[in-house]
Amino acid sequence: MKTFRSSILSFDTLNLEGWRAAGLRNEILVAILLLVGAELLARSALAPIGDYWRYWEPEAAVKIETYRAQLRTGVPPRILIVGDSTGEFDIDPRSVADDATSEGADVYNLAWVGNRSEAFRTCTLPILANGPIPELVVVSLSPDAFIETWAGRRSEQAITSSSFCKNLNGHRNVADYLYLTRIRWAWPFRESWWRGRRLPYAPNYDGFVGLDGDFTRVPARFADGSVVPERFTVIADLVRLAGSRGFKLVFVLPPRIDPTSYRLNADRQYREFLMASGLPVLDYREVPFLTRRNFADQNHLNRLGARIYSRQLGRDIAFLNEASVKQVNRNGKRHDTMATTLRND
Amino acid sequence: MTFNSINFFAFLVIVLCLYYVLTHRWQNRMLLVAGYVFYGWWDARFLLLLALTTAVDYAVAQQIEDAGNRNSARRWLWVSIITNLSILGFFKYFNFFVDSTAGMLEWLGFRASLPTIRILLPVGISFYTFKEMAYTIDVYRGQLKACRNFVDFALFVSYFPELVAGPIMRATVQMPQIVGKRVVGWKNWEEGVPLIILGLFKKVAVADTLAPIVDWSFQRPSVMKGADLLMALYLFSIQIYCDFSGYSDIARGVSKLFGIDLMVNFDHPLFSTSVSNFWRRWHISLSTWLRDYLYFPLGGSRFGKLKTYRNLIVTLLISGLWHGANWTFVVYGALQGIYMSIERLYRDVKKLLVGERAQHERPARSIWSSCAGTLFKIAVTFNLLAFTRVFFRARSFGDAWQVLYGIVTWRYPAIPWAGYRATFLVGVLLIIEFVQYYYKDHAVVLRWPWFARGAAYAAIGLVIVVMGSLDEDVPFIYFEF
Repeated sequence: MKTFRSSILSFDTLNLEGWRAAGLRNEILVAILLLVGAELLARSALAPIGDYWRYWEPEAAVKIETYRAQLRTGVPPRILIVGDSTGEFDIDPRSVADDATSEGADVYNLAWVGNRSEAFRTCTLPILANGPIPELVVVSLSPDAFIETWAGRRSEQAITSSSFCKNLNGHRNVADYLYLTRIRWAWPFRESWWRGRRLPYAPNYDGFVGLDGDFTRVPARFADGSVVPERFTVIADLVRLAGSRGFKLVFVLPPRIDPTSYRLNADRQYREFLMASGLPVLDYREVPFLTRRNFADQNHLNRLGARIYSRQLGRDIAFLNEASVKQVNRNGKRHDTMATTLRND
Repeated sequence: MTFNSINFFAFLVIVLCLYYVLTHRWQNRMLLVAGYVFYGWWDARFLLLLALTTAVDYAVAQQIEDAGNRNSARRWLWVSIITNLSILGFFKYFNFFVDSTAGMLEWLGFRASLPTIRILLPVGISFYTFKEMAYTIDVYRGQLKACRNFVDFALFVSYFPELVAGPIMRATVQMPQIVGKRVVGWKNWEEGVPLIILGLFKKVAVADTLAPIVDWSFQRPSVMKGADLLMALYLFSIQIYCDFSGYSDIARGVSKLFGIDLMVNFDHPLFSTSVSNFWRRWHISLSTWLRDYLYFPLGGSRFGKLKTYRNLIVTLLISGLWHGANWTFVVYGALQGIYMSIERLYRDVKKLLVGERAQHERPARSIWSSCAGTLFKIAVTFNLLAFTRVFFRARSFGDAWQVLYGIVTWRYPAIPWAGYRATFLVGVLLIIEFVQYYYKDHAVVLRWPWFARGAAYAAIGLVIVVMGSLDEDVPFIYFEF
C-alpha cells in the first residue's frame, strides 16, 4: 500500500489484499444479485395490482379506490356511511337510498371491518377532511370499536400501518419506493400478481358487503373487554371536523342479538357517551322488525336483515331531515331526553 | 440516531470514508468527534455530562497512578467512583429515591411532600459510567497503565458503536486497540457485514415485529386474556433478546469495520440450561463487570455458603437496579439472585448427598434421553426467567400482578397465537440460533462456501425487507438503561 507523506492522510489502514482469494467479492455479488433479482421480480409481479397494495385488505382497497374515483368527478355522494363492520355488513346503500329522500339519495358505504376508534381516527377522518364532502355522514360503530382486545387491536394496527393511512397522515413508507417491502401488503392480491387479470374483488354495491347465513343458533363471539373511555375522543374529533367542514352527522347504534354482559355494559357506556355529548343517535340495538333469522352472527345482519334495516334507516334519516329535532328509538319508545338535532352545533 | 435508521448508515459511510484515509492520530480524533456527534444527536446537552465524566476519570486515573502510596491512590479512586455514581444516581435514580422515601414516610404515617425534578435521562449513562469506573479501578489495581493521551481516553469512553448500549468494554482489552495502529483487512469486512445483517434481522425483523404484540398486552393487562398475556411474556423474552443482542451484533459488526474488536455480549441465552448458565450467556459484559467489581470484592464464594448466597443476591439485585429506577427492577434482580442461590444450594446439597466424585460419574445415557433432558432444562430455565421478566416489563407492581393473575387464572379460554408473521420470524431466529449453538460458532456462516454465504445473506436481507418493520423506528430497549 502506498503511504503519502502527510500527517493527516494515509492509506495504510485499509488492506484488502487477498480479497479475491477469500471469495468475499463473489459472495457480495451473489447477495446483491439475488436481492436485485428479487426486487425486479417483485416489480414485475406487483405491477398489475397498481395502488391496491396500499390497503390492508382487498375489499377496503376496492371500496376506497371506488370512492376516491367518485370524488375525483367532483360529485360526492349525498349520504356517506362510515364506521366498522356493522356499517359495512349491515347498511345497504341502495335500500337506504330508496327511503332516505323522495328523490332517491346518492348513498355510498365507506365503512370497513376493523375500523375501530384509532383506525377511524387515522384513516376515516383524513378522508373526510379532504376533497368534496357529503351532506350527511352516518356513523355506524359498534361498542367493540372502543373496547380493548388483542384481536381488535391487531386488525386496527393492520389498518393504521398501511401505506394508505400513513400517506394520508403525511408519512412516507419504505414500501413507497421498494417493491420488495410491498409483498407483505400485496399478499391478499396474490391471485392478481403477474397475470394482469382484473382484480377479483368486484365492488360491492356502492360499498356494501352483504353477509350470508341465517343464525338460529348464535355462538358467543362478542369481544369481551372493557370500554376504554379515551377511545371516545375520536367522536369529539369527528364532531369538530363536521363543524369545520359543514357536513351533518348521525350516529347509529347497530342491531345485535344475544348480548353478553360485557356487551351490555359496553353498549351502555357508548350510548351514554353519545347522549351526554348531545349527538343525534338512532338506536337499533333491539328492534322488533329484525328477528333471529335476519342475523348472520351476534353482531351483524345477513343480506335480508341488512335490506330491512337499511330501509328503516333510510326512513329514519328522512324523518330526521324533516323533523330535525327528534331522536328515534326503534324500541318503539320515544324519549324526549334523547332528542337531538342534526345540526352540528 | 439509532442503528436501525437510515441516518445512521449515512453517518457510518461518511465516518468510514474519512477513517480509511486518515493517519492513526487523526483517525482517533475523527472517531472522537464522530462519537460526540452520534451521542449529541439525541440531545446535545448530554455531551457536557459525557465530557465531564471523561475529564474527571482521565485526571483521576493519572493521579491514582502517580500517587505515592496506596491510601492516596484509594482516595483518588473514591473521587472517581463517587463522581460516576453521583452522576448516575442523580440522573437516573433521584426521583426514584425521592418517591420511595415519600412513599415510606406516608406508610409510616407522616405526610411528606418531597420535591421531584423533571430530569431527562441521558442515553446510555449506565453503560459509560460503568465503563469508566472499571477503568479507574483497573488502574488502581495495577492491571492497567493510566492513559496519558486525552484524545485516546476520550475515544475509549465515547467510541460510538458501543457508547449507548454496550458491550461494556474493559480498558485492558480496548485501550491497546485504540492506542495501537489498526489495519482493516477483507477479514474485518467478511466478519463485520454478517454481524450487521444478523443484528438488523434480530432488531428490525424480529424485535420490532414482536414489540407491538408485547406492548399491547402489557399496557392493558387487566383486560387481556390469560393466553395473550402468556404469549406476550414469552414473546417479550425473545423480543428483549433480539433487541439487545441485535444492537450488540451491529455494534460488533460496525466496530470490525474500524479494526476494533468488541467482546461477544450474548452467547445464545435462549438455550440456557440453568439460571447460572443464563448469566454466563446473557449481557456478558455486564455480568462479568458485576462479577469482577462487585461480587468478588464482596467476598464472592470465599467466606462460606451463607455469605456466598448473600453476595449473589446483592449482586443480582444491583444488576436489577442498574436496569431501571423502579422497584419492579429491584424485584427482578432479587428473583434472579434467589434463583441463583437456590441453584447453588441444590448443587451443594447434591454434592453433600452423593459426593463430588459420584456426581461426575453419571451412567451413560442415550442421545435421545440426553437431548430430552437438555430440552427439559432449557424449557424450565426459559419459563423461570420469563416469570422474572414480568417485573422487568411491567410498569408497576399493579400491572405485574395483573399479568400474573391473568396468566394463572387463565381468564377467558383462548389459544395463544401471535400471527403468522411473528411465528415465522421467531422460527427463522431459532433456526439461526440453533445452528450457531450446535456448531458452537457465532460465525459459522463463514465456514460455508462463498455461494452459500451469499445466498444466506440475501435470504436474511429478504426476510428483513419483506417481513421487517422497516417503517417503524422503534428505539432499542436498552437505550433507556
